[in-house]
Amino acid sequence: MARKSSQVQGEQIWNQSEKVNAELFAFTYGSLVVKLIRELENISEVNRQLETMGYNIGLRLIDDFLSKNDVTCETTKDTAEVIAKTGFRMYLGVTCDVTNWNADENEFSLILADNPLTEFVELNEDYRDLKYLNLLCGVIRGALEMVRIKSVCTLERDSLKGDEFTELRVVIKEKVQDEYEPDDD
Amino acid sequence: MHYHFFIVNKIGLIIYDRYYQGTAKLSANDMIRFSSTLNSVHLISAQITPPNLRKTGLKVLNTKTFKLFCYQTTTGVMFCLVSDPNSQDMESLCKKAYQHYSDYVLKNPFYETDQQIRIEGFDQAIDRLFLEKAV
Repeated sequence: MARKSSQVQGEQIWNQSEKVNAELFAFTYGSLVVKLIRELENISEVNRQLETMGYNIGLRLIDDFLSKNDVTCETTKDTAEVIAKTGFRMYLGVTCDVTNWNADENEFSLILADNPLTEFVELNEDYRDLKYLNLLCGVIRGALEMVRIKSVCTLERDSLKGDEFTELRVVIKEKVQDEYEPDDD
Repeated sequence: MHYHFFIVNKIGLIIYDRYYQGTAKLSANDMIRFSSTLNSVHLISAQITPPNLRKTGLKVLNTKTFKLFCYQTTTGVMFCLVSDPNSQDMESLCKKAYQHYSDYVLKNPFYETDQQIRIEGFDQAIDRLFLEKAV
């Protein structure tokens, strides 16, 4: 049930919201990455910087997301479902699939088959280490942190590097207790 | 009719307030006293919630002369509205205010989170929200 409704909700918000041209969006992101590469001259530093930028976006984006959606996530499965079906749909116009759960149900992968950001991108050999989509990882980490879930998100597979699809791996480290829980003493 | 609207951040400080219908302003000291009392009441009411119920904290306060409504978001920011006792639909107003907050305040790159909100566009949006409905 949760699956269907989160998909429908993402769809509705997408239809209501204002859109920007997808090409403009892809180009803007592309020039941002290129600018970072030129200025920092070090690919791992670029990756780190992209993640931090995403993190700062995520911290604010989550309120935008929550104010436009009515979501309650009881389990990590719900959370993953909402990110994949509502979140990605609302901000990127695509949905992704949730797979590869580990046994403890605190790690999962988001599979992006189709991605507006990478449509015009080809990475040449010099940039083999570049994590072009590291910003998305940061967004997820920042957004989850604001709802008291500590997580780590990494770019596991990248369609720009010859993989079939893009895979973001999300590891939930800790769910910070609700502040209203009574103390032990 | 609405009298007073304010936003409390997640550490319990009032970061925004707006008065309507000629409501007298609280002095800075009263404001601090008020926000800390409100926060304590909110936390205590969550603590004394019977088990098995959702601990949402203070939501509505009804009195003969006014009604106080608090809407707390998942991220911990609280939107509060003081209106006359017959007011309806205060929750949806607070949710609308939350949308304006995410649009006008959080998308402003010069706004630092958890600081006082001084943004003209947001003032106007909030005024539109609470004055239109008041008629």
